[in-house]
Amino acid sequence: MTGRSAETALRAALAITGVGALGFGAVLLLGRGFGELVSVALWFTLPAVLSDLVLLPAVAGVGWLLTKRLSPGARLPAQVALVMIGALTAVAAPFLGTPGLRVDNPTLLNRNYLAGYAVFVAVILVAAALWAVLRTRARRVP
Amino acid sequence: MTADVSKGRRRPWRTALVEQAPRPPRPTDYPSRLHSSAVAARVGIALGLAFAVCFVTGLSSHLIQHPPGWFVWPSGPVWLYRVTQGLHVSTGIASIPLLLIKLWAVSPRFWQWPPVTSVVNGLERGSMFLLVGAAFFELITGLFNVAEFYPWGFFFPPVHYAVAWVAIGALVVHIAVKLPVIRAALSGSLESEPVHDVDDPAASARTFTGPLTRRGLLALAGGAALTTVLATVGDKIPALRRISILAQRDGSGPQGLPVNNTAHSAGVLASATDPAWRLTVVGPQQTRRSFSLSELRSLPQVTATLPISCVEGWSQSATWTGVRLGDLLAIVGGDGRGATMTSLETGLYAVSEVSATVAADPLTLIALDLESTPLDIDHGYPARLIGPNRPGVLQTKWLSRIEVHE
Repeated sequence: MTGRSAETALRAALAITGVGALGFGAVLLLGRGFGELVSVALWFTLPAVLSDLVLLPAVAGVGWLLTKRLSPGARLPAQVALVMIGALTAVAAPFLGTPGLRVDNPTLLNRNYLAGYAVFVAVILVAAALWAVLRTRARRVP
Repeated sequence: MTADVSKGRRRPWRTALVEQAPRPPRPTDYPSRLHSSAVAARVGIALGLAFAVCFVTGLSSHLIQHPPGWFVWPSGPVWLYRVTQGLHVSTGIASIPLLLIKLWAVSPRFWQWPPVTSVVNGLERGSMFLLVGAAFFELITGLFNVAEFYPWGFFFPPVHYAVAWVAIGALVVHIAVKLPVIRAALSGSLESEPVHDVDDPAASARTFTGPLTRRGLLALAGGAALTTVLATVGDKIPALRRISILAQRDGSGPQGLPVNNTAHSAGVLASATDPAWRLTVVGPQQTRRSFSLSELRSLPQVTATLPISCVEGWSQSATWTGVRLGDLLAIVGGDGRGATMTSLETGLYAVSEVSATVAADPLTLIALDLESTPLDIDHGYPARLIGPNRPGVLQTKWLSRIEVHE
């Protein structure tokens, strides 16, 4: 087989396998009740749609603002800090208000999530600020 | 008409209006060099590997809990499930920043104009919706399950499992579609690949080079993924407890071990402390023996160090003492067979199955003590199952009955 036809065969095999797995997942889902499926459809669609229509445009807006408003030396530290804080916030979100807390179980969700999150964010911000100062100074040296 | 008078004035005004008329963004409106298939392919490979790990470990956890006839899960090494389920949760958490960065890298393509250019393009975009929808669904529901937060109207385990097949299927289709793009992106140099593959000289001229390089973005994606893992992994690796500010637990609990389901929520506070409690063991020919707690204590006692490994990812090792399950089954003539364990509690997790392999393992105990003191009621007093290499949900607490398989 030539390289091209081998690749075509591989792509076809992948596509068939993928559609098979998709179909199996769909069959499993259809075995759930109608009420469950409505909720599944909502949680399946909303995050994807909101990420394209709200989150990513908002990130583009923030990026545009950073480019226009920040001094050149501060841009990279700001970008890095915002990505790190964003990632941490996404993971922290369901823990911050501890909606899953159960009064009878003190061994579950028993950390001070708000304080820990605030410390992490503060460390990132301080590190980014120091980095920005160092970068700006390095730029001034001729 | 007065066209001859106004013509010269109106035209530039009109052109300006057309240029500034609101319209949806186009891919070429995103000037950053970071939007490129060179970046997307590389972040995509990391994300694809993370999803593959999640899928395989999740599938094995599903099969352990709902074993079909052909499936055999070994009883050792004792730490195997602890590792596979810890990997499942941690790679899932690492996937959250990777997915967001990957989507950001390809986000200009969402605004393709016209929205659908051909049947193949339409199918491709449809499969993208399934992939992105399923990916968000799995990562959000998985994360919320770790936080024990269920703001939806479906039962988490079977639906998370079903959508995992949709996610992995859509991912494999996506790889099939993009294989030539991936190969081209990986064969070129990371920094010199064109911006979001648009063959438009005008757009290329507007390309913006910020201080973050493509290599820098990849490092940042890795750093963000690592940070989220470090922030959450302390409930699996005790050495990292202090920095894991978002871990599900701090590792404390009665007898130094956390609890997933308390005696109070299981509704067994009265039945588990009833002096009339007996453990009934039923053998193959309906041979039936009942044991009081002191009778169980008079049988040979064995001590084993085994972890509790929860499906939610947390795990912790502990030292258990009790009667070997194999010894107990032998008393009713059930040696060499599996058994059904029934708890005093009712509901979803009241019953678990022990395969013949696990029942015969010398480390599988009907535990009476934890860390050399009688089990706390939240750990399953008076007697619980503890076996090697099993999800915590199958380590049945507050045992009332053991029935040997026919």
